[in-house]
Amino acid sequence: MPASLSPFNCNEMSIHLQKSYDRTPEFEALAREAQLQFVEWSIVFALDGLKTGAEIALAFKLSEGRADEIFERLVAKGIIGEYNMGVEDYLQRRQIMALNALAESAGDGRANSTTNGSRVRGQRLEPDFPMVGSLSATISRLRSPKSTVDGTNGKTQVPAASTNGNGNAPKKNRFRLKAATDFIQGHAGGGTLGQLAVYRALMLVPSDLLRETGLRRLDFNDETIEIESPKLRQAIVDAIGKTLQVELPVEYFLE
Amino acid sequence: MNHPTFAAPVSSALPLGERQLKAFIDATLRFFERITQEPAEIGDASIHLDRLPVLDFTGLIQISGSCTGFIYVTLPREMLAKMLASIGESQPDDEACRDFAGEIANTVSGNAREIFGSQFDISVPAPLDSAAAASLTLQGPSFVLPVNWRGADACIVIALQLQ
Repeated sequence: MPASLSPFNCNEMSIHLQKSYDRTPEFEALAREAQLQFVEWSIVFALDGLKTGAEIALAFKLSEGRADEIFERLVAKGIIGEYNMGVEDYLQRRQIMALNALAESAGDGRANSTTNGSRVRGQRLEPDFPMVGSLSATISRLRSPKSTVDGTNGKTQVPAASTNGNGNAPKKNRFRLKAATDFIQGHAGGGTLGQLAVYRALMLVPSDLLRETGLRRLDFNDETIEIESPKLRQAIVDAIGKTLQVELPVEYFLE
Repeated sequence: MNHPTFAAPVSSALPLGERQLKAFIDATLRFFERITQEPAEIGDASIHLDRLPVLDFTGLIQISGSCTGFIYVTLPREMLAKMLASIGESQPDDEACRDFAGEIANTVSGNAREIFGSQFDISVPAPLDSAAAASLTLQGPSFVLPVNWRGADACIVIALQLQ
């Protein structure tokens, strides 16, 4: 970890702050009953098994003592647990840390790489707050497409990259409209509210581009609608960005 | 794979927020229960990109401002007849159905004024028959929410486009 990221003296740092944590397999069940402080929930949802306690504490501007106290409490409640990684996770983490270091060295504020729940801008690690909407939607978002916690052994599963016969990952170029509408719905709270958010987003897509598809009607459960036009893909993603105030590339929806 | 990064919680970058639209829908749904003492159920919403759905009678308001378009409730004769029967009108004819659609338009208008009023100009509510409503056109998408009441389906339609 770059020294500039941490104000803590690593030799004296609490054991909690040196470790990486993630939500436990029991998190979903426990979360429904748990009564936590706002900052504690924020930390729970910021965990990704990659950031250390120290990084989280820095991101939330918490003192070492306060952060340690929160981690201890969350561990005791069984909501979070120490994250032991396998070799794949280790390699993934190392790659992400290298990207972070690159972003920091660029230091222009625009160079930001995501780490499944946080982003680095210059030298600042900023927490994201992706917990808009229902608990289920949030949990499902947290599970995918990042690595997931396996319910049987508590270990994080990194989705295996599918390959073609040559060992190369197949090129993703399928843009299903449902992936985009599900994304919007998930972030807007689901139900009618989520569907209205989809409508608001589509209001921002140029109607001539929509008409070019020949689509006459969009049912929210329709899995079959694929968007071929790069211009329309970009327009949909731009509309999502404006509606949800989110930054994301078209590639995010490619399958 | 780049994951999305959030600049802020969901905000209202557009003139109408989904919470406002939802509040409008909920208020309109309450009309059914208030008049008939029996709640309506909502069905699976869809977004129409082509034709606006129109049933036998329609209560409509027009909206202008940063968004323009229509918000309306369109109902089949069967449902209007049942609703009228539930309030004591035993033999409702087309005239009575049309008047009742006007009542619904009044409700839609009142709800819209209350919820969106400060942002938009809202027209005088109008009851339309199917021929008049069929001439409604809109360039952009419309949000269509089916409403089931005693086995018949009406639709709440939000058909707006940005200026």
